[in-house]
Amino acid sequence: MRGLATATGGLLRSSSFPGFAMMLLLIGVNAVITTGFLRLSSLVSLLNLITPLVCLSMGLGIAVLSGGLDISIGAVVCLVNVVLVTLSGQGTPLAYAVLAAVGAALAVGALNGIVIGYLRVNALLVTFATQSVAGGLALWIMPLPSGQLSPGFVEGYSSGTFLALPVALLVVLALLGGWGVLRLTPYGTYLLAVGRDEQKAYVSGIDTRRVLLVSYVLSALCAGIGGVTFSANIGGGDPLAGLSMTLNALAAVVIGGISLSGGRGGVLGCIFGAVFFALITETVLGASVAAFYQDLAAALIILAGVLGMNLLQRATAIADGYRT
Amino acid sequence: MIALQCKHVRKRFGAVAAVDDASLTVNAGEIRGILGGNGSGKSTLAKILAGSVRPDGGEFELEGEAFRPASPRDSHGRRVIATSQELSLFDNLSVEDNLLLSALPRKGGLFVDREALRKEAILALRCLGIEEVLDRKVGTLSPDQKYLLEAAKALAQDPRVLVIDEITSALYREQTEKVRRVLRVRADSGCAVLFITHRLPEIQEICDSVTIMRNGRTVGTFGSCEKNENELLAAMSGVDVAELVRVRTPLSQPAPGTRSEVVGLSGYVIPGFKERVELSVSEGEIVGVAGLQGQGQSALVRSLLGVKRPARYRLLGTDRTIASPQDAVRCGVAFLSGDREQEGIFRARSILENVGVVAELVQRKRVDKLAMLGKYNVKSDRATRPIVTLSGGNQQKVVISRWISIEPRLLLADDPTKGIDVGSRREIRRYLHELARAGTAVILVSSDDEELVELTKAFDPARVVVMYDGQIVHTLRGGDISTENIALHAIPRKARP
Amino acid sequence: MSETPTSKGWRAARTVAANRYFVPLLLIVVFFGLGQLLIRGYGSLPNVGSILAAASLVTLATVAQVLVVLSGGDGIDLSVGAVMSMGALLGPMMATSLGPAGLVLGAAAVMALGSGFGLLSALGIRFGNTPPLIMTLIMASVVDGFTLATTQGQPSGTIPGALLSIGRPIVPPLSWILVLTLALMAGVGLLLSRTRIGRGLFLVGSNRRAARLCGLPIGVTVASAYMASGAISAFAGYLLAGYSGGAMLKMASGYTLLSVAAAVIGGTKLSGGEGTIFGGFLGAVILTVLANLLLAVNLPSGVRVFVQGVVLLLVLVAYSRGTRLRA
Repeated sequence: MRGLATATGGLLRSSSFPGFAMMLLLIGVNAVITTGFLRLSSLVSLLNLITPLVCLSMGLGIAVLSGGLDISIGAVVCLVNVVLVTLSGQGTPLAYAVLAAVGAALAVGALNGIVIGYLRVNALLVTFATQSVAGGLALWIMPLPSGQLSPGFVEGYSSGTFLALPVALLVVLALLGGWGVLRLTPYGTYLLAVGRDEQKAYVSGIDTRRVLLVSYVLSALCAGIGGVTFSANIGGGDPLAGLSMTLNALAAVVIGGISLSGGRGGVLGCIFGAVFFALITETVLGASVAAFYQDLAAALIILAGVLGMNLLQRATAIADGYRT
Repeated sequence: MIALQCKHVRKRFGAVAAVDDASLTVNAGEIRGILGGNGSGKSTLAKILAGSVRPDGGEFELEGEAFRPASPRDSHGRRVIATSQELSLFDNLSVEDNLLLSALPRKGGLFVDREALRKEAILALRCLGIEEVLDRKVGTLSPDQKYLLEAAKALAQDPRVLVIDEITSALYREQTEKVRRVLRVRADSGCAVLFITHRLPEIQEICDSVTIMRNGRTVGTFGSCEKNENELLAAMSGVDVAELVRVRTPLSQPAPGTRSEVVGLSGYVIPGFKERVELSVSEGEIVGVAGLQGQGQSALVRSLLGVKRPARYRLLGTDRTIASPQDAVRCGVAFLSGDREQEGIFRARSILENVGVVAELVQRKRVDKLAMLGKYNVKSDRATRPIVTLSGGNQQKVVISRWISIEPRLLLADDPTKGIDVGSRREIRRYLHELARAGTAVILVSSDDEELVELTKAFDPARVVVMYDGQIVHTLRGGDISTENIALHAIPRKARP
Repeated sequence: MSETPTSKGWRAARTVAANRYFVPLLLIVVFFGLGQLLIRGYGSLPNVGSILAAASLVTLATVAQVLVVLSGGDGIDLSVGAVMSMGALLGPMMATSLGPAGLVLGAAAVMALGSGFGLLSALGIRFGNTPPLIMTLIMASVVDGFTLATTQGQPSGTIPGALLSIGRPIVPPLSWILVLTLALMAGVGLLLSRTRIGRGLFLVGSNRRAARLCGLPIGVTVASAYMASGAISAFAGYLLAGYSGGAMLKMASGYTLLSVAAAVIGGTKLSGGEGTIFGGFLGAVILTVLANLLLAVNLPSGVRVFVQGVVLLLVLVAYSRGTRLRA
């Protein structure tokens, strides 16, 4: 009994808990509001739709844990989408097209990582600039929405299963598994140290510049994978469609309990935050708010969520003895 | 066998020479104390050895081989480890992660070996007797536990040269004893230990020998039993040994109270400390606050401004609550900080802006700024240039004239002459005297005992209070005011219980 | 010892180079020179006038940005573009429904709205423990959503004729929009040099701790900067509607990045406390000339966005690197 109590206590105090609770709450609300919400087929299609945001949030979570921010992720999605659709439209085998697209994402991540980690420019502003670099490239490659991905690819994503699990779920689980493995390596600990205080981490003998480079590459990798699933969702190319995901991913990360000052929180929370997010925008708003008010409502919810989480974090940080 | 040799190490931060010419040689198996007052360069030297500060000059040798500490990783690689006075602990990591952060044990080349990590952590904690912190959150540990953890972290890396930077001030007697034993064991197995401290008894109890530093230079190296405490003090403060005798003259009686009280503290607790403080300062009085670093002097003066929390005390005869510096300034309280960069100057802004900020922007008074600058001898041909173009001394004079222009009732100063040239210091003292003669009460904290003596000994009314652990432990007046007396009362002779 | 003519020349050259406007002015000359080489009639007064007119809009956005960045504390306003778009859509709507004085009242109304959003940003930053970058990023979405909601996707009302003519030249190279912008710049400049809050802004941004210890009202000063930014951005949007002859949702979103880049190029330090309105103007002109060149050479919009991103990156690497890890 005591074991259960301490485990529950630990769960309640975990930083991902508020996000988890909010997610459950929203699932409950949706189950009531939307008829047929809990049917397997609608859950799976929701899952497919949500996965890009979940991937982006996980990557952004890593960047934020490192003490920075990556607002180029939406533009990376656009770039990946455009590269994938263009290459596959030109006849490149799908596997290579996907690799090239993800490779483009990694290049952006490396650029971010080098300018932030080695040239020591403010992360927020660097990724703001690379957002235009990646977005501009996407627009250049494909000025207007066009192209079509092979139906086989699209179908494979939306209805395919492997070991009885939908492809989208497997992608998320794979990323989560990757993060789990990473946490078991020294990098996982270094990441949290650098995020909390780069100077102290340096003094402790950590190569902080390399840790930052890796973090931004990983963030871009997750954005790249998210971009591939996003492409499967929309079925074609659109150079601007991914941009709005940046802010949603940011909100998901904050709701998921990751502290914007770095070093606190876990990627699991990002998943809860992303699900919460996507549920709000895809279903609740869709059902009950008039079309023209949806953007405003979504933005206000983000605002409330971020402000609320920041205030909550400040309170718990004081309780835990952190210096504010 | 010589473990470490440093020759002519130098380091400047801006205009200040933190380390001016430091050389020392330490043998393997030796515990060398590094003794020095505030600003003697001991911590900077430690950071240079640890690789986190880049030296301007100097040569280093480890066991005869050249050594260039280019980064903390570099120093760690050569097993030169230093503890950090500001603590390099992470409150978002577990105790075991903190302990072995620099050398996480691996499994299969790629993963952290959690079991080995835990075992090594327990061992590291056990040798300093703090196993109980193992599963606690670092942020909730008490200061003594944190410092021991910092020491354990350094020890866990099996150093060849270990630099311990002032950890004992936070420790209780038994803990210091444990540290002594652990260091002895390490030294006996070949490690060279540099033990930085300001506590004289520890030199004899813990160290084999001692190097004294003053003003950034290494002044001399002796066996730990060669010199007695007075002689060590003399070397640290640069005063002649013969003058270092305890002077027992009767305290001069304070003049009958014809001056009105400006600030009165009774039952006042300085944030971060436990004991209550009683202090009353009248118009035109100068009170110097002395003592070792971190004994509450700075915290006292800052708390009166209401910087972190509201402060309740008697100001100008009435009980007031000062909730913010804005309140304080409105009541005529001025604050002069020694940390010009962070708290004094507005770097890129012009000299004129820097002078006029309080008078013109906060109190809405018109001030003839150029006249003030001229009066305070601030040398600058064009007052519209950024204040950073001035020397440190002149910058501080601009800041002082900023406060003088509002004719404050109370001036609180926290080490205002830190890092300033001798000539400017003399001038600043003169301005403070003038200010006091005009009726301002002055409470001035300083780590420079000579400064306090010069400021107070020839002025009436003036006194020096010596603080330790948040309390005023002694008051010196008149003929009693001397650097020797300050030093005598500042350093604890008996160890803490 | 007398100076030789050459050493006197070097000394003069060094003083000129040390002037803070040297690099921006040099860049303008270089880009303009390129324009002259590539395009016929580039240096003609009418063409210069149209460049300056376009630059006016970027200038207004930059002035807004400079004020926020000056306030320090990692201050930045990523909602400039969104508030501008709001001004472009809602301003003319309000102007046409506010009667005869509508032109001016519409401007005033939309500026009040903009400053309201700015105040919300400032409150969220101060009391919500949220960094300015994040707060204003979210605020941009809120403003966009608000604009969509209030216009119901259908910007109604025509744009007042007077507003439509602001882009037209008075006497080349002057145009009404340029005159209005210069007037606003002068007004802001006066506020910054004559009022207590304006003068205090530089000090608050330069060193918050010292400013606090001096008793300066930090909260009010910072909030004023964000409110002013909102008001000026809204006004810029209002003029944008006239200049473009129409208004669309999110039409001004690109101005945010331009305003940050122009502020930095013009000498405003992202750490706060340092910067000038005039420098912002120069930065805006540089970026407009650059964009104009790219457009004239018929480069697709994607390339233009790409180049803007690269330019900002280069500017950041050149001017905004942080402190070293090893002192």
